[in-house]
Amino acid sequence: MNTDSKYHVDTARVSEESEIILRAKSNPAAFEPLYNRYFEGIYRFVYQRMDDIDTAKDITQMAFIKALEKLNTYEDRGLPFSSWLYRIAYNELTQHFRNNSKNRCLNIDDAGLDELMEEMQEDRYEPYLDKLVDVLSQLEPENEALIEMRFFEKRSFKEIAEILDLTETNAKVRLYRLLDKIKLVITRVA
Amino acid sequence: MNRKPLSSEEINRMQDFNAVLKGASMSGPKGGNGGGGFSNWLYMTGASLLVVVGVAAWFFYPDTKEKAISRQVEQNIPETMPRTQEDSEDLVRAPLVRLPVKEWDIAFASYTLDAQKGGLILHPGGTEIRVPASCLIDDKGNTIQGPVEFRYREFFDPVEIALSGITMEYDSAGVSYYFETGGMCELRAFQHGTELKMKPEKPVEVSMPAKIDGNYNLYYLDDERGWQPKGNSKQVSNATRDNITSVPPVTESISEGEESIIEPLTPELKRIQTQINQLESQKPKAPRKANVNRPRFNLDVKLNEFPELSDFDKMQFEIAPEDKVFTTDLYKIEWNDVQLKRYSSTRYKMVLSQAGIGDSPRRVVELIVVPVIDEKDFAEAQKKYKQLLEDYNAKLEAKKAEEARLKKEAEVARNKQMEAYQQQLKNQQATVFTEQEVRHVFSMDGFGIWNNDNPRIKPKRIIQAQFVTPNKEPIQCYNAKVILPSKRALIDIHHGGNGIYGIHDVGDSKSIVLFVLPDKQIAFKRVSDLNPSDGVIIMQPDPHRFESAKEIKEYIYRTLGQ
Repeated sequence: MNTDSKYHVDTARVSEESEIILRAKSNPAAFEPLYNRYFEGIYRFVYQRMDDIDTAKDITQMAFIKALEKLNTYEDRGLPFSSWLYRIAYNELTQHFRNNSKNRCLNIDDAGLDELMEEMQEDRYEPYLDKLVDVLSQLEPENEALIEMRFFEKRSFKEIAEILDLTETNAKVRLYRLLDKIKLVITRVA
Repeated sequence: MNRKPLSSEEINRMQDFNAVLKGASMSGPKGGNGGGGFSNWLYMTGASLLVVVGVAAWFFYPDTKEKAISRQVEQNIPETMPRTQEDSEDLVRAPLVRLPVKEWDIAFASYTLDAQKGGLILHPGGTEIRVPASCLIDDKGNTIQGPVEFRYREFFDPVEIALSGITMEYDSAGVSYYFETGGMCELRAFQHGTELKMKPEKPVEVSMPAKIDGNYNLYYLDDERGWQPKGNSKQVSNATRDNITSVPPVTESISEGEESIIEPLTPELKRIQTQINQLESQKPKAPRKANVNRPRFNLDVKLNEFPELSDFDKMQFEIAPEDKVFTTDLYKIEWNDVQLKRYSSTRYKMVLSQAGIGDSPRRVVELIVVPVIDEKDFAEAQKKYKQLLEDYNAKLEAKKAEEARLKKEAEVARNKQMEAYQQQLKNQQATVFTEQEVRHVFSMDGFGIWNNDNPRIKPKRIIQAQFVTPNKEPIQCYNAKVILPSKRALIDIHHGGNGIYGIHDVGDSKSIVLFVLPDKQIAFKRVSDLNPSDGVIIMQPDPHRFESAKEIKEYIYRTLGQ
């Protein structure tokens, strides 16, 4: 599975971002380069999970506000700064759906479904589509996020683990167990 | 499904950093660890400054009369007076630990233990640290599993303590004391770079060789409240101790991954794991039945360039549902060239090219295609796939069995290495035990800095003078202490502006005054040699530039013949 990522950054960039963060801790305006760099990525991450362009913008902005507020508690653990931002955005989304009693939105596409079926060692998804959509819509939020990030956003396990605050191994184990369950349900019924 | 993606331009038009700044500054202070807006930030900074100034003044003058003088002295401190090297934040480990020079910090030794099993760490010099099984938790209170890195360092010498920046001042019921230490240590635990906590009901037991006879109290350095009494450490004779087993120190960082520490990879293991990874990347893909309603092409593919397509004969390429380029008009064009490119794990791009004719430019069309098998050939393809998958699984199983065997062998080798190490330790201990007959034994109920101490009241006599260089320039320093080598004690020296310092005179002929100067230099003198003339004392900065605390310690003791 191709999971080339724009999310992971090289050490030079990590170092440059550490300096920006240090400056921004005492001068919030210094945070602007990081805002400009990550706005699009965070926006896409949020919009992927909903159908409302304006609400996606509000949640993205709120994620950056929270990030600025919490910047003095940010600890450089050698991970890309973006993983911290994605985690905040994910928490904001979760909070949004909880507060507004709204259903989450899972945006799927053919290529992602193909890869999902391939991972389950099944043929094309079309015969299972209805049941598959039904199963995906009933997943717990964290399980849904695992499927979404892996197959529809093409994220690596390392990225998924960082965003969901899991270990990489744990993310893999959870996903493969989940796929086993999904396969069992869709093949039995279909 | 298959929603039209937004363009980067559309998204970037939504950016509004000013709104974020405004939102953050208006949100106001919040409780807990979440932090607040920037007003809260400033408030926090102000509070921290107040605490630091308060502590400094308190340590300087122990009684009310002297505190009045201290305020006067503090007010005279010029703003440019350096407190630590470059006033850098990374020199402040905790409010009461301020390193004068980063490079002089006392290094930690690193040990790795399995959190579930616990174990015994034997530090060079004879200190033993017993870590109970499952005694570690994270911030959320979850019990930690897997390898954990323990970082440990200890202090017996007052010069090293002075250069570590750890305070040795103790306040009890309004009376300020200095510590005579029987041995101080710092222990921390980390997993993947994150610091861990200890379950208070499962304390770590530390046994340090006692290098000075006598009973000592036990103290823990609380970041906010300073040294906190924790009872007494026990004195234990070496003869009553159990036989011990321990883990060797490791130098690897555990942040690179758990497996590298638990099972260091042998060359054979590396080779087999590379083979497994290669094999897994060649796992046969299930054939996909063609959709009779979708257009498809026959292509003569160079299988050496696309070995993943070589599993099945009669492969065709079907236009993928998400392709938006294909139209039946493309059939009418005579294409000069067709190329295939990989696009994703299940998709390819078919690139059709037509050479430019006359004034017409060259035309290139890229279609997203999926490899498929025609319905009439599909049963045969599935049969072949089943066979390929069986072969693949058999190969993989054999490789994994080989991997398991090699891991077992590596484990046996490591156990032998451990046994040899244990034997070496026992030999070392035999030497240490004869030298150190008594040990201080105590329990830590939290990670941090622990100290076996006896508090001593600071002497009332204070030598207050202006310290200047031979060129009459006032001495400005990052750190200043009176060191009492015979008692393993040190007392803070309090500095005012313009080179004015107040020094407690303990009446010990071997006590030393030590100033840490800029550019990794020091100035030092015996207190008994301080002879103020008209309130001025001349101190000659030492010309050496020092790179470590050990170097300074040896230099001072050698120079003063101690």
